[in-house]
This record gives sequence, C-alpha cells and structure tokens, in this order.
Amino acid sequence: MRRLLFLLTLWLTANMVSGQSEETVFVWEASTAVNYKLGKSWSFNTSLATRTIWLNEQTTQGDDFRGELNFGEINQFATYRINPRLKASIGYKYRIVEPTEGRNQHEHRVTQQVAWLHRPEGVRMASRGRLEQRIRNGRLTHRFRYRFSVDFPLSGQTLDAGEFYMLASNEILYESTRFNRNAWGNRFSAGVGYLFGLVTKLQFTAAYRSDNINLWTLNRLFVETSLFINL
Amino acid sequence: MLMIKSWIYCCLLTLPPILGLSQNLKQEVEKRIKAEEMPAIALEILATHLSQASKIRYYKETDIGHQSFECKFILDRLWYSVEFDENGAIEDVEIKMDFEQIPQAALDKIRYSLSAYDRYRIRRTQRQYTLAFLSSDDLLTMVIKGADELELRYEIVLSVKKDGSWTTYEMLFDQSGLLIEKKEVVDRQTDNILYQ
Repeated sequence: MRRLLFLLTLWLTANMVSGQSEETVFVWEASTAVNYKLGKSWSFNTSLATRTIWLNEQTTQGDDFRGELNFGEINQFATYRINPRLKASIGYKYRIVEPTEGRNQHEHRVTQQVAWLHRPEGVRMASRGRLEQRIRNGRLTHRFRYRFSVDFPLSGQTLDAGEFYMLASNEILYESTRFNRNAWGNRFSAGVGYLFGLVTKLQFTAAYRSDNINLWTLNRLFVETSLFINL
Repeated sequence: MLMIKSWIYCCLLTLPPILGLSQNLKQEVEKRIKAEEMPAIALEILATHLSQASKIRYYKETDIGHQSFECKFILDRLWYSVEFDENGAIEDVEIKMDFEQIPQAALDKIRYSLSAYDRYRIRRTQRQYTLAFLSSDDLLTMVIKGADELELRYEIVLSVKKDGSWTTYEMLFDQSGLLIEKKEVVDRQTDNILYQ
C-alpha cells in the first residue's frame, strides 16, 4: 500500500505541470492551523489559508510567470469527542475571493461534521461526513460531503517525532442550490507529512479535484501544503 | 525597548512547546529497523523460529533511560511480538488475543477492576510471557509450543470514560486478573483527518 501511495503522489505531482490549462502552471493552497484543547473532551482549531493560482502567460515580451491570489480565508472549528473513535464538530469559515482583483466576493460557510476512526492505530482509517451551508454574495448553497481517509507512519506502528507519514483520501461532494443545477464532485488526494517534535506537523499533498461532474466537468490539480501546530 | 524585550521573552517561552521540545510527556519511540541492526544474539534466538513466519518486522524502541529491540511476526495465525534488551536477551514475548479469550476467573476480576469506570472500550489485548526461571531462548520456544505451565500477564490497551471524558490507557494485569501497572497512552492527533 505504501508503494502504491508513493507512486500515486508522484503521478499526481507529475500531472501538475501537464494537466493544467495552458496558462495555469499549478494551483497552490497553503494553510496554517493551530489546534488547542479545552479539557479532555473539547478541542478547537483555528486556521488561515490562501489559494494562489500560478500562471505562465506568453506575451510578446516573453513568458510572464506570476501568482494570483485566488482567495484568503479564516476557519474556526469546535470539536467534541463523543467517544475515542467518534468526534462531532461545528465550524465557521470566512473567505474573501479574488481580493486583489477589486471584485471582492465574500463567502460565509457554516459546517457541521462527524468524523469516526475505523482503525485508530497503525494504518489509521477514518470517515468524515460534512454538511455545509455556503453563502456567497447572498446566495445559499447546501453541500453534502463524505470523505474516507487513510494515514500511516512510515517507520513503525506509531507516529513519533522526526518521522514521516503518508496519507490518502477520497471525498464525494454534492452541491444543491436554487440558482444552479445540483452538482456532484470528487476529490482525491495523496501525500506525505512529517512530524517535528511532538506538536508540529508539515504536510504536502497533491489533489485531483473534479467539480460539476454531471454538468460541465472541471478537473484541476492542486498542491496543498499544511502546517499543523498542536498546543 | 521594554516592549521589544517582552516580545522576545514571550517568543522564547512559546517556542519550545511549538517546536516540540517540551519534556513533560513520556513517550515510547518506535522506529523500524533492518534485521542487521538487531543485536546478533537476538537474531540467533529468532533464526530457528522465523522460517515458517510471515510479515517479519524489526523495531528499535527508545524510552527515557531504556532502549530495546522488537521483532513482530505472524506464525500459525498468531501475531507475535518479541522484545529484546540491548544485549539481545529476551525481555518478553507477547501474542495478540481477543479480550474474551482471557480465562473466565481472570476476566471477571479484570471486568471488576474496570467497573470503576463509567464505560470502557477494549482496543487491543495481548498475553505477555516474561522470563521467570527460563533462559532467553527457552522462553520463545516454550511460548511457540504453547506450554501451559508458563506464567503470563495480560496487556490491554483500552479507552475508559470517567467523569464524562475518555482517556486511553495501557493496563497490565497478572495471570489472576489483578492490575499491576497503568500507563496513559497518547493517541495520534486527528487534526489532518478532521479539518483538512
């Protein structure tokens, strides 16, 4: 499984360059999240994230390689541990879309989710179900998401400081809104992470996203870098 | 100037936990190694038993002030874990089992101990054989042969609920079901599963 995941990550990364449109070189999402506990049952997660689209436009003066900020966002989650394998969360996201283009779109998103661990040790397997209400420029969209994920340490059965881990996930997404036809989406991602010390993780993933599968399919490849700090 | 100094002190105080330098948590570190990195005596002891085994893995474990080596394998459909000290002598042999397979008298006693908690969920159970009057090599041979006269203990990893919150422990019970040792287990963080 480890070899398969490694090859999948390589394949996705290799497609970053060739799979995008002529102008887009790659889409980069970067996030930093801080996780902190309140007692034994409650934990909170605050994160900041940006998406930058890197373009290479061919002009009369030659190649123009530049990054355009697509959005910036802040997320806040509160999570309650129902039992060792089951956690319920509520969250809020504020996103400002294309802030540098002068046509700011403001997005508010409320999330309710349940996540449960099928296997808590070694090769860890987990499911996550999410309900989202997304309001962008006054328009409400309901989103229903289910994700299955696997992660495991690359050295031993436990993830210790100074060790790498691999992860893969697939998420199915259904969007329902009054303003458009309902749409399906799928997101597959694979990657690698590294645990610094006891509290800090850095994760690199390559993701293949297919949106509006039943309407006009939009396939995109993403590079995602995430920093997790557990206080 | 005072503000700058305060900011520097604040950074110095908050950096160690962020970088994971805090020494408050006792954690066993397990690292996968190659067979060649195992003590030679340990490999000699294992050699006669591993010909029929599958999924053979070697690990080095480091705890504060203690270092050991471990070999995990499957033999006759049983999951073995054999722990060696730095010199290659066997410290203990563990075999995975179902919680319900514990003999009834010991099981009743363990359940009675666990009734102190509001709820509990068993994650993993192993029977553990340690050296009593046997030599290192004899112990593994006798465990694999299934000798009944060996004294054993039960190592159980479980989550317990007390006062509304859950904690995971590794508990060690003797053959009669009496609790000998209890250590809190730090679970892997789930932030990448929950939020990303």
